[in-house]
Amino acid sequence: MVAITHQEVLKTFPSATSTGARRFVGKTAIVVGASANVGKALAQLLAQEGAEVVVHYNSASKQAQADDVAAVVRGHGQEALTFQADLTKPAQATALFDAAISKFGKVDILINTAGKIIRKPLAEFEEAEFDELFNVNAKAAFFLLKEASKKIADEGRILSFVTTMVAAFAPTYAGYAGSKAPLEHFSKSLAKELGGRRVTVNCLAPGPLDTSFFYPAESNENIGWLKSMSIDGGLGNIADITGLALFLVSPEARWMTGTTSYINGGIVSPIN
Amino acid sequence: MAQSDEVELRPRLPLGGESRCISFSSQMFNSPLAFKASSYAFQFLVRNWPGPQLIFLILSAYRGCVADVSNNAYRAHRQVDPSLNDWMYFLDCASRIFRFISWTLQPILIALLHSFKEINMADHSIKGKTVLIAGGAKNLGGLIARDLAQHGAKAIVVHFNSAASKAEAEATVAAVQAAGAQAVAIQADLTTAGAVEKLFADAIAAVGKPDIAINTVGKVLKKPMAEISELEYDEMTAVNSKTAFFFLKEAGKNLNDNGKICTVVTSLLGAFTPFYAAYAGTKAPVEHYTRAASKELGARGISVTAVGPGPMDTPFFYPAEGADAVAYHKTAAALSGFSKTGLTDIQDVVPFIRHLVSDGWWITGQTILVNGGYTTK
Repeated sequence: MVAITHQEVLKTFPSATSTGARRFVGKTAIVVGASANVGKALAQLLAQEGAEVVVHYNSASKQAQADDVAAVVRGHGQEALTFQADLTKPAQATALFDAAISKFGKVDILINTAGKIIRKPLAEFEEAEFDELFNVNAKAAFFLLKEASKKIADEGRILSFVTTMVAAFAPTYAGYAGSKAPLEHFSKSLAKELGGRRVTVNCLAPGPLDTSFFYPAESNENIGWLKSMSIDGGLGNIADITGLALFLVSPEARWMTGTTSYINGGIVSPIN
Repeated sequence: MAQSDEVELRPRLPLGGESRCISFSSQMFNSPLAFKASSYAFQFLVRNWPGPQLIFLILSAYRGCVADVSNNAYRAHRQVDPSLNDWMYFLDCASRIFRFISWTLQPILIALLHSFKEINMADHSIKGKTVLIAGGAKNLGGLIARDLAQHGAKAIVVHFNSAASKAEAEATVAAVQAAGAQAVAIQADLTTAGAVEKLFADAIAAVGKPDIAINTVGKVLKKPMAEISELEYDEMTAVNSKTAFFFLKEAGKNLNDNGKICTVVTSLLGAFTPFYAAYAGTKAPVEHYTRAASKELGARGISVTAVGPGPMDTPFFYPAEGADAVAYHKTAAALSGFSKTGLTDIQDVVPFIRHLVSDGWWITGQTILVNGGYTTK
């Protein structure tokens, strides 16, 4: 039944980046949530392929990690700017873009990997939890996209991370899938609004990944259920999804816009 | 009937003697009328005496029959042939008792199971149901209120948001009462969790726990993303996402078992178009609330759905649309040539919602677009 074992996935396999692609020379990318996990990986890979990178992080406690990522970017011969912003305040999205343009002259790529999971039945949700989830997952994302719509360069690329659970039919995800779903519609609307400037706007819907982002909201039982639905009985890895994320922000993907791409080891698959 | 072994039967069944037991049960088994009568009798018993008491009742009735049978048989045998030994007599009695039980137990069990099945199957009609409609004063919600009243609802709570809608709320209340249902109007701004909690508490105080909860509340915004302010964004989230979330939460907590919940969203969830980011985006979460809530509430028989009408010919729709856009929407549905204006008529949405909250109970977790072929997802 299983063609590729989980252990084999963990081995390094050739990716576009590792085989010497340099797709982002001359481009400036803002990576939101770049101090850890997928954002960190993408910031480093973009630099490896020639981009200047703005390393965003949301709280001062992550400054050291952000500085480490910036050091890796510079190690690849590219410029880096670290920038702390609580993006649940729209003014800070403006500040982020203005700082990027001030240093690099333009922004070509925006990748938003930020998110928060609270997973429980509707009956147990408090108002404060709802507000927090929607502020981080929907409102912050909206005002980032709004800034991008005004300031991103022509032929730009915008990529937002939603969740594969928007295609699931399960209890306990009303808050998480519910708060990520708006981002799909924001992206689609923006795709039509910015099409005239040849800017593409897409969403990526990763399945559960073996990272510190995933575990806090999970129970052993739910992790077991999610793993059982994947093609190899395990969780995904960051390296499984960075290739697709980079493709979606590359020049080659100019004809793909207004989409949501699911990359989740087969745990769910929507019909449309 | 045996005297010394008489067992107190509750109720006293008209039995005496083996042959009368068998003829009674075969009557019950073969006669539809008797079967139905005994089924109703058992339904009455089950509704009025809890399980363990009922089992005791049935067992004591049997004990009475068996004692009666065995005593009669014993005396009859001894009279006919005193030489019969007790061992043969015991076997003979056992076979008679077995035959007796298999003749009588089968139809009784069938009647009992039949009556249990009828009790467990819920009544999905609108008749006699208590309904809460958020935004029930006017437009689509106002027509739903009138329609459900005409279909026999017992009581309808008509919620409205602002003083400007008070007159329409009162008109809806009057129309519902004229159709024979109780009605009460409650004003509330539902953009906080506490307000939604209070709405349900006030509704329950007025007319009792709801069976059906329908949320028609919504707010439109049509603008490029670049021009949407934080205030506008927050308002859209509060009215469309947050109200819907806590309406579902409170409905789940307060509805009677086998109840129905339906939220009105928009056919824009199937669209790929500029300018509606804040409207489609803030209605989109409802689809995901609906999926999760349907799984979480299914064990109580509660169905949870969402309906996305196309743009409707009501005062809700026109303010955000310019003349060109209106002209487009009036021709954009496949069936636009056959509705009053080319837009969706609320009369074409109401019967579907009525179906979902009654006979259509097996549809749950779904978001369905009802729009004359305007968009699809």
